[in-house]
Amino acid sequence: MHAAPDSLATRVAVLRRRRARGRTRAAGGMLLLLLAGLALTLSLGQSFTPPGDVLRVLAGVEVPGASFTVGALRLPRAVLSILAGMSFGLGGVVFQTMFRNPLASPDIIGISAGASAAAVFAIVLLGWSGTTVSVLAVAAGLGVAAAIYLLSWRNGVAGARLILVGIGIAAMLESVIAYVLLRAPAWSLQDALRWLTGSVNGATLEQALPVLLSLALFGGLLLALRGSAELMRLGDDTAAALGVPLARDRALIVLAAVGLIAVATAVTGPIAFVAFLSGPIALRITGPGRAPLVPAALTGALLVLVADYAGQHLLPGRYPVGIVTGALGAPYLIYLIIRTNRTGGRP
Amino acid sequence: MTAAIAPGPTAQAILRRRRARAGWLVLVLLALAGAAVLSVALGTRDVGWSAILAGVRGGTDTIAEAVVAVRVPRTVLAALAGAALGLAGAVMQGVTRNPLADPGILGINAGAAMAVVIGIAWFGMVRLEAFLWTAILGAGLAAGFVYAVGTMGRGGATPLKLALAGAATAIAASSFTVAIILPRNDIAGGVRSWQVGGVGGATWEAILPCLPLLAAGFVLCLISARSLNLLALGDEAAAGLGARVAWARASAALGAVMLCGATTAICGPIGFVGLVVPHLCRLLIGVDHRWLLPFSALAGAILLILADVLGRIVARPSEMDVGIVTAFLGAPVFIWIVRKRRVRDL
Amino acid sequence: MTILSAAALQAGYGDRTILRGLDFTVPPGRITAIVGANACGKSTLLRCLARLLRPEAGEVQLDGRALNRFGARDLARRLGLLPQSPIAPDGITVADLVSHGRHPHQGLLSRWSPEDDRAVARALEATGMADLAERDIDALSGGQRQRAWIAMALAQETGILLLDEPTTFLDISHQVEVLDLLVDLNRSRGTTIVMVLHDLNLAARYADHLVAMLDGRISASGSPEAVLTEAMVEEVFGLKSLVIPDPTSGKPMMLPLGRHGMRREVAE
Repeated sequence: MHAAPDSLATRVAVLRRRRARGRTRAAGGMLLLLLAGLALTLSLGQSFTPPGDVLRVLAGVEVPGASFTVGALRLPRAVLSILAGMSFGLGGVVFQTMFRNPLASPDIIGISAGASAAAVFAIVLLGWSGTTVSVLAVAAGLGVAAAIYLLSWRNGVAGARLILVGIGIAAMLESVIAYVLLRAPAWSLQDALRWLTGSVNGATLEQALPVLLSLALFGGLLLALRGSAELMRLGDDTAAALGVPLARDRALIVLAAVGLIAVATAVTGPIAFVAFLSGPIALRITGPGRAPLVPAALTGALLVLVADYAGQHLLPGRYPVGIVTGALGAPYLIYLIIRTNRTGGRP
Repeated sequence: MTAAIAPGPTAQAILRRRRARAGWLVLVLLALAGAAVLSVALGTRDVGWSAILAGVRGGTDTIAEAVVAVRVPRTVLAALAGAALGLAGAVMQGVTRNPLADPGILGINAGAAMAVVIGIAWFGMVRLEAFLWTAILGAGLAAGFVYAVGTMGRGGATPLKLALAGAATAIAASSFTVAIILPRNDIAGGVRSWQVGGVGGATWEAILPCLPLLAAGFVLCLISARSLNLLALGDEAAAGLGARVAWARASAALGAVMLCGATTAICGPIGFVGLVVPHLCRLLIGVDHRWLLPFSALAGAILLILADVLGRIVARPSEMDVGIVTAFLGAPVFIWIVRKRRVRDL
Repeated sequence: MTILSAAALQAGYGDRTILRGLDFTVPPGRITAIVGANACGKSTLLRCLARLLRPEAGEVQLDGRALNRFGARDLARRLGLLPQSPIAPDGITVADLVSHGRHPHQGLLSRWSPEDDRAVARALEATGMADLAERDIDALSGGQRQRAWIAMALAQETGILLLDEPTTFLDISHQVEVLDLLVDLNRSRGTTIVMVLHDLNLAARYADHLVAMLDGRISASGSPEAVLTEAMVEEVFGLKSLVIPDPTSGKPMMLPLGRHGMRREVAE
C-alpha cells in the first residue's frame, strides 16, 4: 500500500474544519437570536420597560415597578421557558437521532404522557401539589421509559419495536389522563389542563432550579455520548462494528434524554411538539451531516420563549404556551411527515 | 433448500376446518348471549332476577326495575359499538395489510373527536345527526391523511410508519381540541365527558338515528371480504387476479370509516377494540376475511359488553368508562403483537 | 496476522436456532467467500464472527481470546464489518462517512488527530473515492456508494474485514468493481476478507477460500476448485449442474441444469 499523498489528508482536514466552523457559526447565530428574544420578552410585555431598567433589575438594583414586572414576573417566566425548551429540544433530538426517525420523539412515544398522567393523577385524585407532584412526574417518566425499554427487549432493543411499544403505552396513558380529568372537580381543571398541553404560567425561579440541574447533569451526559449517538445513525450493526457499546450507550442516552424530558414536563407540563420540532428545525438551519444537539437545544429554547410570548401578547385572548406550540406544530408536522417519508423516514 | 412440499389441503381437511368454524360460530353466539345477560344483570347496584325480567320488559315501577331498564339500551349500544369497532379494525388491518391498524392507534378516533368538538364550539351543533355526519367526516379526513402520509416513501405503509403517522396526527388533533375548548368554559364539561369513550348514557333516542349509518357501514365492510382476501396477496397480485384494487380498498375503507365515525359520535373515542379483536379471531378461525369479518364483529360486541360490565364492577360505587377499560385490556395485546413480529417486518 | 475462529458455535434468533455446532477458522490474509442457499446461516455466521449476535453455545475467538472479552472499541480496531444494508443519514458526505471509521481509534480524551486525517485520506485513495470526497452519499451511484462504505470500514484499519453480501442490489458491472476493489485491498494491505456472496461463480473467481453452508453447518470448505463441484451444488442447493473451468480465469464455473432449454447431450 503506497501512502496516500499528504495533500489529500490536508484536503480532508480542511473540509472537516470548514464544516465544524459552519456548525459553530450557526449555533452562534442561534444563540444571538435567543438573547434577542430574551431581551424582547424582558422589556416588552403589557407595558414597556426600558432596557436600562431591565439591566439594572438583572444586576440586582431595586427599581420601582420594574423590579416586580421584570424581576418577579417576566424573568422567571423567560428563564423557565428557556431551560424547559432546551430540555425538550435536546431530549427530543437525541431520541430522533438514535432511532433515525424524526417522529420518534418523546412526546409521541409516551414518555411525556407518562409524566403527565402521573401528575394529573396526583393533583386530581390524591390532591397533591407543588414539588411532590414534580417528583412523582419524574419518577413516572423514568418508570414509563424503563417499562417501554424492557417490554421492547428481545435479544436487544430494536428501535422500531421500542417506538411501537411506546405508542401503545402512550395511547393507554392518554386515556388515563382523559379519564382522570373527567373526575376533576372544576377548581383543578385549569391546573390539570396544564398537564395536557404545557404552560409556564406563574413560573418562579425556584421552579426553574430543578430544570437547570437536570440540564447540567443529563445534558452533560448527552454531550459526552454524542459520538455514540452520531454513529447510531448509521444503523445498529454499523455502530456496533465501529466500536459503540450499543446496549450500554443506548441505555445511558435514553436515561439522560428521559431525565431531561421528565423533569421539564414535571414543571411545565408537556409543552406540545417542542421535543418533536426542535431537532428538524435545527437540522434545517445547521445543514445535514451531523446530529444537531446544541442547535436543537437552542431552537427549543427559542420556540418556547417566542410561543409563550405570542400566547400572552400577540393572540386574542391568552393561551398557555403549549396551545401555541401545538397549533404551530401541527402544520409543520404534516409537512415533515410528508417530506421525511419521501426520503425514507430519516431525520 | 430441500424441504419437502407440504401436501395441499385435501377435501377432507377443508371440511374439517369448516366444521370447526361452525363450532366456533355457535360458541361465539352463545358467548354473546351470555355477555348480554351479564350486562343486564350486573352493575353498580345489585338487583334481583324478578326485577331484571320486569325491567327488560320495560317496567320502571321500582328503582331496581328502572336500573335494569337503563341497562338494556346500554347493552345494545355496547354490542353495536363493539361490533362496529371490531369489524372496522379487521377491515383496516386488511386494507393496510398492517397488523397494528386500529381506529385509536391510527388517529381516526381523534380526528372524529376533533371534528365534533369543532362542530360544537364553532357551529353550535347540538343535534345528534349533525354529530354523526361531522364525526364521520372527521374520521374520514384523518384516515385518508394518515394513510396517505404513512404510505409515502420507501417501503410503503410499514406498521411503524402508519403507527407513527397516526400517533402524531392524534397528538395534533387533541392539541387542537384542547385549544378549542380551553377558552370555552360553557362547553368544556360536556366535551370532556365525551372525550372518554363510554356507553353509560345510552338511550334508545340516541341509538336509533345511528342505525342506518351503522347498517350501511356493516354492509360495505362485509361485502369487501373477498377483495380483502385478494388484497392480502399484495396490490399487484390482487390486480393480477382481477381485483379492482383502488376501488376495493376505497369502499372497504369507507365502510370502516363510517363505522368508526358513527361509534365515536355516540360513544366518544374507544381505542384498542379494533386492534385486539381481529387478532384473537385470526387465532381461532384463520385469515379468510369471509369468516374473519363477521367473527370480528361478534367478538367485538362481546368484548365491549364485557369491558363495560367490568368497568361497572371494578370501580364500585362509581363506574369506569369502557374506553379506559379497553385501553388497559388492549395495550398489553398491542405490545404482544409488536413483540411477536420480527423487527424487519415492522 | 490475526486469527478469527469459531468453535462448536450454536446461534439463532429467539427460539429459532440456525447454527448448530459449527467450527470454522478464517484463513488469515486470504479472501474467504461464504456461499449457500437462503436461510442456511451465512449471515448468522458472519454476525457471530462480528459479535453482533451472541452465540447460544460455543464461542468465537480472536487471536485465542474469546470475542466477548474485548472492549467495544478494542474489537473495532481489529475487526471491521460492513452490514448488508447500511444506513446513510441524509445529507452526509463521503468524507464525513469515512471519518466515522476512525471512531474506534479515538478515546474519550484523545480527539481527532492528523493521523486520523491521513487514515481517511488513505481509505479514500484506496477506494478511488478521493475525487468524490465532498459529494453527498445520496448523489452517488450504487457502486460508488458501496465503495464509500468500504472506505469507511477501511478507515477503521482493521486486520479483518467482514462483508455481508457486499454486491447485493448492485448491477453486474458494479459487482465486479466492488470485488476487484476487495482483491486490491487484500493484496496491497494484507487485509483478511470474509464475505457472504450469493453468486457462486463470482465467489469462485474472487475468493481464495470457499465455504459452502447447508442447514447451519459447513458442508464443504477449501479452494474453489475443491469446493465448487457438481456434487456440492447438488447437495447444498439441490440443483443439478455442470461445472466447467471458467475460460477467463481458469476457476470452476457452475452452469445450472433445468428441465428445459438443454441440449440433448447435456440433458442426458
